[in-house]
Amino acid sequence: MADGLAFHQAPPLSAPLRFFLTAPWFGLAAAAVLAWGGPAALASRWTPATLAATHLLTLGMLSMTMVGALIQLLSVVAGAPLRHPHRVAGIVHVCLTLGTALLATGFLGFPLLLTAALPLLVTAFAVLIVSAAQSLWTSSASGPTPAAIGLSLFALAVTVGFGLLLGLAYSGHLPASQRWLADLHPTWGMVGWIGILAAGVSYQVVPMFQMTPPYPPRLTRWLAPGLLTALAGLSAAAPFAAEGLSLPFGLAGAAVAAGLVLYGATTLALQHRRRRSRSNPQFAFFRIGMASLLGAGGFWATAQAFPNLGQRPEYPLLLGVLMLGGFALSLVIGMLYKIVPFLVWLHLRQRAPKLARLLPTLERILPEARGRINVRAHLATLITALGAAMMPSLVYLASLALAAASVWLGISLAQAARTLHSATPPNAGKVKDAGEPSAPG
Amino acid sequence: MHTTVTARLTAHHRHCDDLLAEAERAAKQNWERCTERFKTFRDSLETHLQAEEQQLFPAVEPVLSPVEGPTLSTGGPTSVMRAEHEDMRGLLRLLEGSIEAADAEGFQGLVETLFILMQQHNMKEENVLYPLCDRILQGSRSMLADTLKLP
Repeated sequence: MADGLAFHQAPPLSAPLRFFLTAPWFGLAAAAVLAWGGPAALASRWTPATLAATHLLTLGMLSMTMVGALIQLLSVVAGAPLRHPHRVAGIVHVCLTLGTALLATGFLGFPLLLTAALPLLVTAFAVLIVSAAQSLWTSSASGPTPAAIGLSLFALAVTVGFGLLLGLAYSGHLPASQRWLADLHPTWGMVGWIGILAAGVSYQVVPMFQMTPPYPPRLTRWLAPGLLTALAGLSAAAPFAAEGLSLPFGLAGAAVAAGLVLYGATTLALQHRRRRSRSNPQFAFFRIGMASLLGAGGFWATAQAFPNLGQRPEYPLLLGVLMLGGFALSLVIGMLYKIVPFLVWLHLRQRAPKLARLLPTLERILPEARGRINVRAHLATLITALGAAMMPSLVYLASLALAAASVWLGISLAQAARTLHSATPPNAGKVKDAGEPSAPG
Repeated sequence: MHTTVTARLTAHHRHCDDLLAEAERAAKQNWERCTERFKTFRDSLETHLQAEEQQLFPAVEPVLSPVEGPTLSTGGPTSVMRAEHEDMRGLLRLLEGSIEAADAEGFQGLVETLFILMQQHNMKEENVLYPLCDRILQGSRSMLADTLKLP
């Protein structure tokens, strides 16, 4: 099927699905590490268990899902499918999975494994960035979403670069790095890679799937470049802030926070005006995500007004839980509950195009009730994790909630994927065949 | 200054979305209204699909898949759109069945499936195919966008 326009060439099902089915189990691993670390792990964000758990979540769960989604979305929203989806997905998935596992183990006291993780993670992201950039470059599609995807990939490259420097310092291959470098790494990851990609995808997904009015064109045009500019300013100002010149750093930080809050507030306002009455788990997850984003923005602003708050060890933990668990993970889990059953459905349809009317509905592939239970488990995780940031003894409860939510997600997605192997669709017997659909054309 | 394919068909997508959302809303309280809204939606969607299949696609297919020679509408991007149209029609038939059986729960499950299928289909059309059609038609100074048979 070679033709000039390849947007219909959706990647093979396994390309995104392998990432989606892997992601939840890294959530379980993060829960195990937190439980193992116990209350002492939450003394600061620098303890081995906190570092390990954070990276299990950001790399193993968030980036894992986002890479899978990106592989799928490039063809749908940008008309730019990857050239070799099988090979790219295979390399990235294996390197990211192994690299994340090794990195987390390395943090827990095995510096040799940490050193081994670095080339794997760099390979995973380099392969992804280069092949996605190549597709975007050659695609004819333009607009805010492909632009935001491109900028988020640039931010990912910066995040990985900082991470590599920090990893080499952590494992003793470089002199101990500056504190500001260690702050810029998560900022670029959360705001640049995750935030900009989430915004770019929201421009499409929120109006179309949640039936809201479109985002204001001025926002979709300027938010992603604005955030990236603010991040660049923040990075340039960081070394000076360390020397005591803090005004430029504060201004750039305010610009970052304002951009994110603008995105969160606009999304909530649009969702308020949606034309579909029915709520679903994805919608609930999206709202939790946006509320957390606003909460994080407000919390950041409060800490700027009261510097004593910003100095406390709980502050980065709370901000981290709000951004990572509240904002990013909510969006990603919500998306999984929509995208996985749809991909399975699409694949069943392609496998048996004449049986289109006999296919199970999405509800049969992955019942919404399962998603609704996951919303509750996720909320419980968030609340206990926020509590544990202030009262470390709650860490066991938070780990338990995270483990339960992750296992639930993992089993739900695996069951949806198992529909692929069932010989007959679950409702095949219930529908009478009303004749074959006419051939295309 | 005439209109574009992108503008007209995108607006009509939203129109169909609205009708389906109304039918879905009514399914909970007022089955008669749900039935009536669903039928309006079904006819509107069918008109849309036909405008694409009978007017738009044939106008751009010679340019879109020139390499494929005689198999114009079997291998190119429009053939995938046509196949997805057939999927939608299949779901419409199932929805008609649930309307006749007054099966509100079955109706809602099918609406969700159709809705997701429609939106990802619309996304591909609005982001990639329609702008491409506009470029092709602009090159040939076609006024097709104005003559698309939509209500």
